[in-house]
Amino acid sequence: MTQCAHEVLVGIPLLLGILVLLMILVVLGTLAQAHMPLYQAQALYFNAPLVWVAGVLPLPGVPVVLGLLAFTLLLRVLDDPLTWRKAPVFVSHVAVILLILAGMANTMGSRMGYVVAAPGISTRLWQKEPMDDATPPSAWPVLGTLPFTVVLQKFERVNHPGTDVAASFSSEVVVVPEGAGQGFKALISMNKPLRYDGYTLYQASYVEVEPGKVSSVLAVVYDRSRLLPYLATAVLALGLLWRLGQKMLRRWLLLFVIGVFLAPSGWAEGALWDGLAVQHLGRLKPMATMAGVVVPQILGRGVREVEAQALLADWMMTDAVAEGKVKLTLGSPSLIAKLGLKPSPDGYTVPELVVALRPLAPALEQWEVLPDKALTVRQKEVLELVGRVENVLAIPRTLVMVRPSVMINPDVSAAVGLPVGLASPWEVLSRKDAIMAALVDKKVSPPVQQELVRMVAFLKAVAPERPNGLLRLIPPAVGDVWLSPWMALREEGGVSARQAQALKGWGMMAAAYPAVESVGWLEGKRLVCEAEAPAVPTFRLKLEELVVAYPPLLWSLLPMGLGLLGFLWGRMRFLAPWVGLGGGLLGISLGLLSRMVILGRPPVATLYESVVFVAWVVLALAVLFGRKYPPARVGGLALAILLIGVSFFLTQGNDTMGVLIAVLNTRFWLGVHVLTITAGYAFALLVGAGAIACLVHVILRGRAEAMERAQRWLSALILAAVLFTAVGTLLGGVWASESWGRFWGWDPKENGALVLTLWLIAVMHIRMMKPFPLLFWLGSAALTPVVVALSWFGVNLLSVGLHSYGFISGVAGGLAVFCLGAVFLVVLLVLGAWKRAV
Amino acid sequence: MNKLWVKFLGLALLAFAAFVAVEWDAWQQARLRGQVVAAPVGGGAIPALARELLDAEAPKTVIHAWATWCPPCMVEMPKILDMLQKPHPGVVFVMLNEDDEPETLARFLAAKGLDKAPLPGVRWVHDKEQVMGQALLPSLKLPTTWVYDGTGVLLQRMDGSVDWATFLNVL
Repeated sequence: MTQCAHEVLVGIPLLLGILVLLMILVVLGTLAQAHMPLYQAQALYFNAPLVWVAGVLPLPGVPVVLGLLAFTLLLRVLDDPLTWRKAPVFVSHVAVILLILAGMANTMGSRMGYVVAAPGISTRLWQKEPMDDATPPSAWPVLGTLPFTVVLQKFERVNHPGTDVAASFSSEVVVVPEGAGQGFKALISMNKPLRYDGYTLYQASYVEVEPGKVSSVLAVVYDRSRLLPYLATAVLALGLLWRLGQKMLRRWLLLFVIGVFLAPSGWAEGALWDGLAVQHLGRLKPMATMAGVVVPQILGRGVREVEAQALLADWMMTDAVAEGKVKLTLGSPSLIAKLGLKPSPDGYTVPELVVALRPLAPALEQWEVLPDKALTVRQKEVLELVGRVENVLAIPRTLVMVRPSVMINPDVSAAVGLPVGLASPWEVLSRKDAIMAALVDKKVSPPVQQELVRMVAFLKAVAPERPNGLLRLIPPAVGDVWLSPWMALREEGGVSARQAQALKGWGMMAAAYPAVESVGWLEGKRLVCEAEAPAVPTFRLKLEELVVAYPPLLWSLLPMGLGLLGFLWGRMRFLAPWVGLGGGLLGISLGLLSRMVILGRPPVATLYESVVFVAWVVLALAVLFGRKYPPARVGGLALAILLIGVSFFLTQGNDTMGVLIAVLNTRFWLGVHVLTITAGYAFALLVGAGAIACLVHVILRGRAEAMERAQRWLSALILAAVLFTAVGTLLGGVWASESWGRFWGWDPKENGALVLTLWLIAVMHIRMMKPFPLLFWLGSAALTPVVVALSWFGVNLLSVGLHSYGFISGVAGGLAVFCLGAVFLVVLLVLGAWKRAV
Repeated sequence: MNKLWVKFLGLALLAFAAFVAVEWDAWQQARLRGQVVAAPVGGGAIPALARELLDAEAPKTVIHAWATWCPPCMVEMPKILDMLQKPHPGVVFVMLNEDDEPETLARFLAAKGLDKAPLPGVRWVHDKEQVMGQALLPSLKLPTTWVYDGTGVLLQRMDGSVDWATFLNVL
């Protein structure tokens, strides 16, 4: 009897049951977060010993299931004889037990709260997060008092140049231990916590209690067990790597090479704008890139690169905007109706829109100060349109001051000392004293006086109410915040010599453009480039222009597509892998390398980048495994093409190199985490491709026994996928623990990675069942890409949680089609293979 | 190598590593205390003008500045009165009324029935000219709450409404 119970407890079916149950619980808890706050979902689904599904079906809760898992693993560990062969399995299992124990210790023994430190006021109040955002910090629930007092000396917030996006926060505090007359100073900044007396103080955020009075919000965590998960992660990584090494000793070296890569050490047709730089959204970039972002955004429709650049020039240097030659497309019929416009497929001119928006002006003022969450979809649409209109109006104003537009006749010229012909308002302004003197002294004739008064009135008319900062074309005299021509002219202390040269150059270009006079244009551009040179990283800029003109990712599709076609055709089998894999790998490598050079950081911080990176890893793996296991080549090529295709849908305009919000910037652990987990996704996708290839093999050949080697490779791939996803997910915890003070927070993206890991672990253990259910194993392995898609993209559709870098809409349909299609295909293949095998 | 002791040696090693991990911070922080930079923090003692509010017998005195004309004060007042129904040993509460006429305060207390059944350990102090309030905090805004210890050292100041249930628990 006990023997029987023991058999069940250490058996694979129970393990699979536990894993499936965990997956169900995690999925339910994640979905719940879409309609309830995180802490509530956490209490209901992740911390409760019993979960009521839909209020009727009771399921054991996460703590119970994890306890059972730890128990069966412990039995396993004690049961199995320890040999060299089994040692890595032993180590991995022990690591999982340690991880579960660490989780328990953390849940029971750690407390997390906040200290809201106002400047100069000593506080020891340890508070919980409020139930809603409106609660003022003083009324947050009190968790306890700290055994020391914290006094905020100075709070600093640094933005990315020229934007409102925070690059970093830091708090300078004095900590006074209880009963002591003295304290010590400490600087707490993002990712640099203060650890003291068992407590860890992290820079979390800040609150503006009243205008101008900023209090720093420090997250304070008391957790003695915080390093236990680190230890478990390290042991698990060791165990899985060891096991992988056993499985394929030869590839050990190659994996090592990939591993080295995984440790981050840390990047158009340009003829028109060639060489000119502009600062936009916090980053210095070529004008060509800027045009590719701003023009489609304003127009509300896609525009070819070359066309976008020409349009930007038109808007800046001619009267196209004011004359109604620019037509903005409105996507939503409800918006068109709200503005009282007639439906028009070509779009609406700027003057039309300005008139249509005017009645909404009082409402707009109110909406603009509301937080994003409080706005309805309709209101957001209107605000977005207002932003587009403001931007398109800002563009022609940019160069108004330097564009020659004031006619100076010989009489005026004699009176104020300006050359005859067209002068720019800036030049006119520089003679302000002479003009005023001429007007006041009345030494000039009445017609000239009239002319001068007209000039002054014109100058007043062109001056905008506030300087716009959309096109920051002028290098700064000091610092790294570039200026728009308006801002440069308004700078205290006047413009520097270099700025004056840049302004003059832009003026010449603005004069030459409408007249289609290439000499003036080129000369102006030369002046601007010369003036900008000291402030511009020329190599990076040139490289980016090159990348914009010849996108390597797009071009990589060509050899990969040819390779795939050649492979399917059959005659070119020998050539195909080299063309496809070589060309694709070269193109994607160039793309990623140039990004690394341009941005100076590992290329995995945004969803777009990580998709491209996974494509690179897939191709690299296909090359590595291709010789011994040829199906990997086709699978790798097809996957890479798919991923690069997907990546194009994830870009917004042509500039894919945005600045990162504070917490994501420059983090070692973040880099390691994302690189590892994306490599895990890549392996998981390959597992799917490999399993499908195996299934096809069974159908074609009908004999499952002959694919002994293919099975070995597939199981090695599964193990690698487990290694990278599990360790990558846990490293994410290490990073979160280092920067926020909590290892695991049941965030949707974390849960997604967890479900994928559980799935892969389940697939891995199916192979150990006796008798071995080959088709079941292949089928579930073939479904892995569906789990990847759901856990990687699917969770973004929930639009909640901390991994906000990748919220996307509009892929839901594609995702559903992909998943249903893949499931259908796999079911078909498994049925076919089953029929064949029987 | 198939020996039981190897297995247990491995587990013991891991347990030791776990122990080190748990104790690691304590050792690290012992080092950090050595690098303490002296930086006195002033302004902790209760001002002489408000000294009379203090109860030298009680280990902790909570001073709560409020007024009947201050909306946030009156929003949280029912909660405070409710919480103060039961005694809080070792804590004395001083409800410092600012800027109200004496009759207004008397009417308020009568309306709440506090003139007949006073709350345990609570003193109502009338500070019409804001003498004590301004002494405690020159730029006083209502409501504000202070916690002093028996010797008159400021333990905590809270500007604005407070979550009284959890706050009193911690006291």
